[in-house]
Amino acid sequence: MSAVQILIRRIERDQKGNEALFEKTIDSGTLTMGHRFDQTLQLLDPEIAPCHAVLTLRRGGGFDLRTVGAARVQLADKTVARARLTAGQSIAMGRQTLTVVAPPPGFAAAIEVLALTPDEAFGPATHFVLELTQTGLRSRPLAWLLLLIPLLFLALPLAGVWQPALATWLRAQPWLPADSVWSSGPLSGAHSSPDIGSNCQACHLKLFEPAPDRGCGHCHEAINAHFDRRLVDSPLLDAMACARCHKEHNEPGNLLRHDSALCIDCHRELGAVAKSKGAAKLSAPVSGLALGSHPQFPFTLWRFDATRWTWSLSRLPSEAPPEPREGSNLRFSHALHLDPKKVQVPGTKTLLGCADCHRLGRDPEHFEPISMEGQCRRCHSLAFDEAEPEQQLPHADVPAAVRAIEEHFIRQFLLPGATDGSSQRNRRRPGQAVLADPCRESPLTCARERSRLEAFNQFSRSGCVTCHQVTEQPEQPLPTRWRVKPVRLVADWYPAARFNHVAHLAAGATAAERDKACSSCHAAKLSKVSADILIPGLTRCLDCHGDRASQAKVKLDCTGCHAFHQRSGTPLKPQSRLADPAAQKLSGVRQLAAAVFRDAGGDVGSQNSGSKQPHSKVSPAYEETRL
Amino acid sequence: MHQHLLSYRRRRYLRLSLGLLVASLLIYFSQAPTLPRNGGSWQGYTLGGVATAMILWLAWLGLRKRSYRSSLGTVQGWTSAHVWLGLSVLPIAALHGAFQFGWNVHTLAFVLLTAVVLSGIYGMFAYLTLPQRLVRVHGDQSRADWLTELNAIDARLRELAVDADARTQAIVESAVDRTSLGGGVLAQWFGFDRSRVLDPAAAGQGSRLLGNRGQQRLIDFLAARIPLAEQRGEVAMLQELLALAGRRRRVLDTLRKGVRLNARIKLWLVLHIPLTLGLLSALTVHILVVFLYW
Repeated sequence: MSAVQILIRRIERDQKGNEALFEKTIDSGTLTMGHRFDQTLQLLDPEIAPCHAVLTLRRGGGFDLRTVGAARVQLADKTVARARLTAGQSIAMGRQTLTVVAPPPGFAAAIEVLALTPDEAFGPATHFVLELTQTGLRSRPLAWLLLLIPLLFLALPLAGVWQPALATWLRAQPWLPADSVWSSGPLSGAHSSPDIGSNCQACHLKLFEPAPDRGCGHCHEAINAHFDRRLVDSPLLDAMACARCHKEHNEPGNLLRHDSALCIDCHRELGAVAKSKGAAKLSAPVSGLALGSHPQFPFTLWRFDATRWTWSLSRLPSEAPPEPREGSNLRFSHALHLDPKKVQVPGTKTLLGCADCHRLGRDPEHFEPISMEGQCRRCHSLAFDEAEPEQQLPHADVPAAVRAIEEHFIRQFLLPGATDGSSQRNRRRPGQAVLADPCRESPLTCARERSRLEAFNQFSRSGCVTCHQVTEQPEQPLPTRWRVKPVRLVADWYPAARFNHVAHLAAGATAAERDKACSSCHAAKLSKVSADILIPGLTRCLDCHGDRASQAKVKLDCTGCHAFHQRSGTPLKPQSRLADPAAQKLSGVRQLAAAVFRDAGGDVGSQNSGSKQPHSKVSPAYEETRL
Repeated sequence: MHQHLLSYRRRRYLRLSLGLLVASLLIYFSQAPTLPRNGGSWQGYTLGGVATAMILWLAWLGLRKRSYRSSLGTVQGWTSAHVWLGLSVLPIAALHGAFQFGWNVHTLAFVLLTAVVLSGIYGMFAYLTLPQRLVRVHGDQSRADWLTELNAIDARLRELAVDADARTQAIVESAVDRTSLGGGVLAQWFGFDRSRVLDPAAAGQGSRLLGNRGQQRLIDFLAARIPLAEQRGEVAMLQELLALAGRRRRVLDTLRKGVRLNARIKLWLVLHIPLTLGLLSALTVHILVVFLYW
C-alpha cells in the first residue's frame, strides 16, 4: 500500500441546490481525469474529453496540472493547459469545479470536486422508464378509487333508506352493496330469516335511533310482562327498551344477555323500582345465588278446604319451620312402592323404578300427570268380586261405584244361571274370612245385603279407602253415604323457576343410575306418607350450584332458572310502545313467529289471565291431576 | 440509521406502544362474559375511540414528518413514533371489533387498516435496508452518472461500428437499440432484462431476433469475430468494441439493480398513502354507519 493517500470529495449539486456527497480515497500520487471509465476521476460531462487532464502531487503539497491533447481548463478566468495548484485554488472544467483543499489528518492532499448536475442525464439513455412515477401506477387515481369505494358502501344503501324500491332492488343484486353491508354481525335464530335478515329496516325504523321496541312489536306483540301488571307497577321497567337485554349482531349469535346484574340491579331492592298496587307482596331481595343472598324457594301447594270442598293455591317457604306438608288427599307410600321385597313390575321380576310412574312431559321440567288409569291401574285393579275379577268398579264416581256393586250382586242372586247356579254364594274377599252365615232371605234381599256389605268394605275397610280419604254420612242413602275427597297433586312446585330434569339425569346411562340420580335429590325411599314433600330446596341446589362469585362447581346466572317474560300474565307493554302505526307488512313473518312460539309452548297467548295465581306458569295440562 | 429509528430515545415509542397494547388488552378482557365481546360495549367503544385517534394521529404524523420546516420534534422522533404506534394500532383495532369479521363495511375498514400497516411494515424494512444496498450498487456515482456513461459507451460503439463489416455494425447498433432497462412496475420490481439483438445473418437462419440478456450475445459475437479479422486495425477496433460491450454489460447491470432497488424502496409508498386515504374514508363510513343503524 502506498504511503500517499489523496482524498477526493465529490459534491453533486442539482438545480434546486440539494447536494449529495461522495468520498473516495486514491492510493496514488497521480490522478487522471476524463469521462472515460478508466480514469481515476471519471467526470461524466459531455464537455470533458475521455482523457482530459492529469494531476500530479507535488512534494510539499499542491499539484501540477497538465491537460491532454487539445483539452483545456479554466483557471481564474484564463484558459490554460498547465498550472500549478496550491491549497485554495480552483480550476473549472465543463460543469465541474475542482478545488484543492486542506487535507484532513492522514491524507497527503485533498481535492473537492463540485459538480452541477443537470435535471436529467443527457443522451438517448434517458428514454428508459426507470421510475415508478413514469409507469401507469399513480398514487392519486388509486387514492381516489380507495376513497370512493367505502363512500359507495355508504351512499347506495343510504339512498335505499329513503327509496324503499331502490333498497329492494339493491338487495336483489349480488354485486351491489345493500344495507346488509352495514350489518356488524349475524342475526340469531329466526331473526336471520330472509324476511328480517336482509331487511334491516324491519328493526331499524329510523336513522340514528337505536332499534325501537315497536320494531320488535311487529312480531312479538303478544309477549308477556315480567310480572302481573295489574298487581305491580314499575315505571323503570316500562321505560326499558327490549334492546337493553336483547342484543343482536354478535358472534356467536346470542340474543339474550345472561348476566345476573341485569336482574339483581332491580331485585336487590325491589321496592325502589317497583310498587305493589294492592295486597301483592314484592319478591324478597336477591343479590346472588347463595344462602343469605337468595331467598328460600317458596312451594306452591294445593290446599283443600273440607268444609267448602274447594281447592286453593298457597305459597309456603320450603325450608323454614314448620316443615310444610302436602295436602293432596292421596294415601300413598313411596317407601312401600320402592321396597324390592314387596313391589315388582307386573309380568317381570324387576323392581319398580322412578320412571315406571314418572314420565317426562313435553318439556324437560314437568312430568306427565299421575292418574289412576295412567300409572296405578297397571298393578291395582278395581275388581271387587274375586269370582269375577273382570268386573271393575268405575273410578272417581262414588254413586256409580255403589250402583255397579248393587247391579252386580242383584244379577248374581236373581240370575243364578248367569254365574255358577248357586244363589247362596259364600264369598271371600281379600283379607276377609268366608261368610260363616249364608243368606237365607229372598234373592233380592240377599243381593242388597251383599251389596251393602261390599260398599262398606270398599269405602271403609280395604278398597277405595286404601288410597283415598273417605267421609261417611250415615243418614244418607247408600249411593250418597260416602264422599271421597278429591285428589290434586302438585304439578309445578316452583312455578317461578325452570329446572331441566334431562340435563340433571344426563349422567345416568342405565335406569338404575338414573334412579340413583333421582334419589340424590328426592328422598322417596324414606317417604312413607304422601304428605312428605320430596322436592329439594335451595340448600340442595347450592350443593352444586352458585353464582359467579362463588366457588361452586357449576355457576348459574339468574336466567339459568328464571325466565324474564312470564308464560302467563299481562302483556309486556300494553301502551303504544310495541305498536307502530306505520307498521310494515310483515304479517307472514308475524304468523310464522306466532306459530313457532305456540309450538315451543312459549310466550304467545295468555293463560290464567283472570286467575288469582300470580307468577303461575302452570299450563292446563299440568294444572290438576285427579286420581 | 435503523438503530436510531427504532431505538430512538431508548425505545420510548416501543414502550409507549406496548403500554397502549397492554392497557387495551386489560380493557378488552374486562368485558363481562354475559355477551360475546364486541365493539358495542363501553370497552368496545373505548378501544374503537383509541384506535381512531391513533389512526388520525398517525396519518397526521405522516404529513408532519415530511414537513421539514417545523421545529416541533425531530423527523427521526416522529418516524419512530409512526412506526411503533402504527404497529400497535392493528391489534387494538382487532380488540375493538373482538375479532368479529364479516362481509361488511366494518371489516372493510379493518382490511384497509391491515393493508396500510402491512405496507408500512414493508416500507420500514425497505427504508432500513435497501438504501444502503442501493449506495453499494451505485458506488460513488449517481444513476445519472451511470446513464451518462451508458450514453458515452453507446456513442463510441456506434462510432466504431461504422468502420466494421455490415453484420458487425448491424449487430452492435441493434444491441444498443434493443437494450431493455426498467419498464413497467413488474419489470422494475423484478429487474427483467428483455434485451434483444437482430442478427441479419444468423447461421443458416437468415435475419433473426435473438435474446441478448446481459449483453451476452453481443459479447459472444464480438469475441468470436476477433479471430476472423482480416484487415489491419480491425482487430484493435473489434477489441475495443468487445471491451465497450463488456463495460456496457457492467453499467446496465448496475443500472438494473439500481432500478430494482429503487422500485422496492418506493413502491410501498405508492400504495401506503392511497391505502391510508381509503382507510380514512372507510373509517368515516364505519363510524357513521354504526350510528345510522344504531
